[in-house]
Amino acid sequence: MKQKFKIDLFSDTNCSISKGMREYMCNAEVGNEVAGEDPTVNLLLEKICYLTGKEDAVFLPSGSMCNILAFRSWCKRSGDGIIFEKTAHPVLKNKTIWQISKKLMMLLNLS
Amino acid sequence: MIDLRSDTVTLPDKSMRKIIFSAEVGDDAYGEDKSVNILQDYCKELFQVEDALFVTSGMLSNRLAIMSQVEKGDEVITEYNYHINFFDSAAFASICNVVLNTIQTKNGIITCSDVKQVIDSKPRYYYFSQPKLVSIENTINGWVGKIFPIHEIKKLRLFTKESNMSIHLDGARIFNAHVETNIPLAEYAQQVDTMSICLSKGLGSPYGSVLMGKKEIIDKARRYRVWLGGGVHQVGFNAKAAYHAIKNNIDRIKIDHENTQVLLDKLKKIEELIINPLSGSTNMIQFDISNLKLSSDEFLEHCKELGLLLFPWLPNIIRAVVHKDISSSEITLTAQIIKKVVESLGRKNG
Repeated sequence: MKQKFKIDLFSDTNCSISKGMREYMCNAEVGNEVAGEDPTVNLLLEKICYLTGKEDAVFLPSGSMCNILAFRSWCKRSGDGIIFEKTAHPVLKNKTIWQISKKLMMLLNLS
Repeated sequence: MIDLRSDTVTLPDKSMRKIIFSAEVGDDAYGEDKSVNILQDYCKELFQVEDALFVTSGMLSNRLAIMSQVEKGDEVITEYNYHINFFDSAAFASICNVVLNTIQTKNGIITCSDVKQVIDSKPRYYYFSQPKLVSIENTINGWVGKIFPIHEIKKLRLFTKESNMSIHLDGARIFNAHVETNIPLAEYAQQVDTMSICLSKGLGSPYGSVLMGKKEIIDKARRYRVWLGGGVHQVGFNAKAAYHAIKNNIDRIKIDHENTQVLLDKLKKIEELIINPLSGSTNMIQFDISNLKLSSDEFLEHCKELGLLLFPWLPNIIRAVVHKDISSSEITLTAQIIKKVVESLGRKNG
């Protein structure tokens, strides 16, 4: 198990996984998600839909992928524009994804 | 339920869950996940390659391999039934922006003369699409698990080098080829510029693939992986499971092949089934049910009622894949179920 010898404030993506969560994972019921047959994924999505009041949800490996898929789903054509505040994460950290999603970034200066 | 739809359906057993439970993890976005690093280092050693990258899936791995070696609009030459075309052509068009030039071979093996023929079949002035990569698969899913012969790979390697092209090997089931031929994994890797392996098929890990090749190419792939949203933080739980699988489960795949032979022998005795002669090359069987009075859906539904899941490959073509969660008694039962469905419901004159 990970021992922390230093205080890591680099990001909140770097938190360690507790024993309780490991035990939870170890006992997870799983299935082939590609066929929509993973009961734990389905349970999570149901819960998320309930919490957010949304019709549907999809479980993804990363936040970047979530954003890319959202942009692609909303803006159907290459060159469609998306308006951002200039410090938004996709603007600061994910500039490369514009090459993937082929959308125009329209920046708002709100400062 | 006996699930022979694919070898991707295996479930982690108790020992693998224990391994996952105790995995040392970190933030892989900073390269700090020890379990990921151990897996990647192990693959470098095992396959004798410069660099290795753990990715979410085989499909991502193949896409990254292509994106890292060719430019938009370039041409990738492959076989019609290889996975990258048969299942994934949409992504190669819309994400990778490459042209797939597909060969329809008679036996699933693309040769140098096939490649030369498709190169010469179009005008290649510099402002048209340029053939830049040949993508092969081993074993070949769309050819019922057939093994791509190493001497043909070696010839393609020389040909692509001379033609200033790259060669990628989709080795999602390379371990099936390896246990059958005894050809070292490193020898397969040596013959190609990039190679992808899958940990969640015969090896029985729940997740992941590894893309391997020269550092220069894998560095690009590492970058594109994030572009496509495939950068994952504490992914070491999956890497640890994969490491455990690749270290311990390669030889076990031989059992799947033996079980496939047993099943094949039993199915051959059911004369209404037209068995694809490539069946049993490794861990797959395909049969045609055109002689039955049942549609594929009806056939599959009746099998399901009796506790068996099979995969509808194409109209009237059914596929069965043997894997680690299938015991020899389940093989016997599988043959009995199929026989029962054919005899009780399937006969045209019955």
